[in-house]
Amino acid sequence: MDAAGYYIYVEDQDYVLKGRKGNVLLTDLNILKGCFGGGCGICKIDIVKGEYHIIKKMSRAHIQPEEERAGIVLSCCVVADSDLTIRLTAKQMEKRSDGIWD
Amino acid sequence: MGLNGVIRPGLIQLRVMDLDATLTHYKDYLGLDEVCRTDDGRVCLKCYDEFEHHSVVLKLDDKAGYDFSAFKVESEVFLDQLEKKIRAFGYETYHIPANSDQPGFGRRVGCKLCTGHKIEFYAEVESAKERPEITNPDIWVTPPRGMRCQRFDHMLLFGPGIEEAERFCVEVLGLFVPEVCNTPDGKRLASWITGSNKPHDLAFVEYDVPNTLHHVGFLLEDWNDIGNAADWMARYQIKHDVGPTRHAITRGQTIYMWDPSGIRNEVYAGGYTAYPDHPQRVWDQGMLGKGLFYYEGELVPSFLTVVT
Repeated sequence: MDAAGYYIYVEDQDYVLKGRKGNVLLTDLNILKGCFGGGCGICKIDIVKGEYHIIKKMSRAHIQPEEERAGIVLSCCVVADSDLTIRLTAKQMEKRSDGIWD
Repeated sequence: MGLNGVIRPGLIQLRVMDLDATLTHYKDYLGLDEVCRTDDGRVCLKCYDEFEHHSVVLKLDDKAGYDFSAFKVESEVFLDQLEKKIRAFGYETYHIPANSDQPGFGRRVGCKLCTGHKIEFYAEVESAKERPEITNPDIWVTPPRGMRCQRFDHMLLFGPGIEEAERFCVEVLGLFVPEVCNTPDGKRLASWITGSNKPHDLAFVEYDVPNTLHHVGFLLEDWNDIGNAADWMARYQIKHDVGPTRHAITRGQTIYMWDPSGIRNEVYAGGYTAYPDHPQRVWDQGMLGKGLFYYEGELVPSFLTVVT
């Protein structure tokens, strides 16, 4: 992490993303984006390495307390404090999904 | 056409996770007025052009989304008849006493649809203290604020078994279905349902997770007010979803946004005049891009996959 930003390593992917310091993590991820309010759950990811803090409530419909303790978060609700390594679902790695409309 | 029976959706209670920020959104940006607070901390709101006590309730919760909605019906006698029909359809009913959890509202009869949503009905409700004038009326009493929402207009609900939910709305509630969308194998994918000349009072989309909310819709006066809403969204960094655009379905002019708790709002104007004797409009699933986003002609990927 430097003054401007930090690196986001995505497990099993050969690319690295650059995050802007202070942004919520989701802003700089290349996945389908949703409500940015912690309500819809579409941006649920697993942070496997790195420091971050949670800046707003995450709906308990999507994140249980034990998940939160294990680093599973809604990426619209967290801000990175270091470089991060994250794990995405197969669906998220498709970058976009039409879901039930496929 | 006489408008009777089930008249309109008049009340919706939303579960929100950040009450203060969400209240600012509905009051200062959408332009609703705070009417009162309940003993358990819920906030009751209404739009400036609504006559009744309140129409939107925000309830603090650890999950965001739909709590319940309620439809105004024509009379207490009709409410009793309706309960019998609901039970005959096979849904259990429950009762909420007058002036209990909803200040100003008469008794409510409720049921749970197969889609997982609680829907209630009431015949009586007190007039709002601040309501539109009725004697030589001005167009408003005090200047509308923010996006100038006129009324709670409709909701789009996602859940399983919408063919049954649609049948309930028609056979039990006496509503009609101006527009539908079907899958290639002929199953119902989406249904727009109304009890008035509005193209929809509520709509359903087939979805595997019950009790899910796609959006709450509020009425604006016209296309200029959609632009005004977009200005407010940009100025106050309200999370934008889709639009301004137009739906071919309903023909409504529209813009969508997210409230701070992750509930999608639509502010909407126009739409065709629905009549129960008109033929039903039918959409193929593959044409939904045009149906939903008429100007763009293609689906926005997050629109039908991201719900709360």
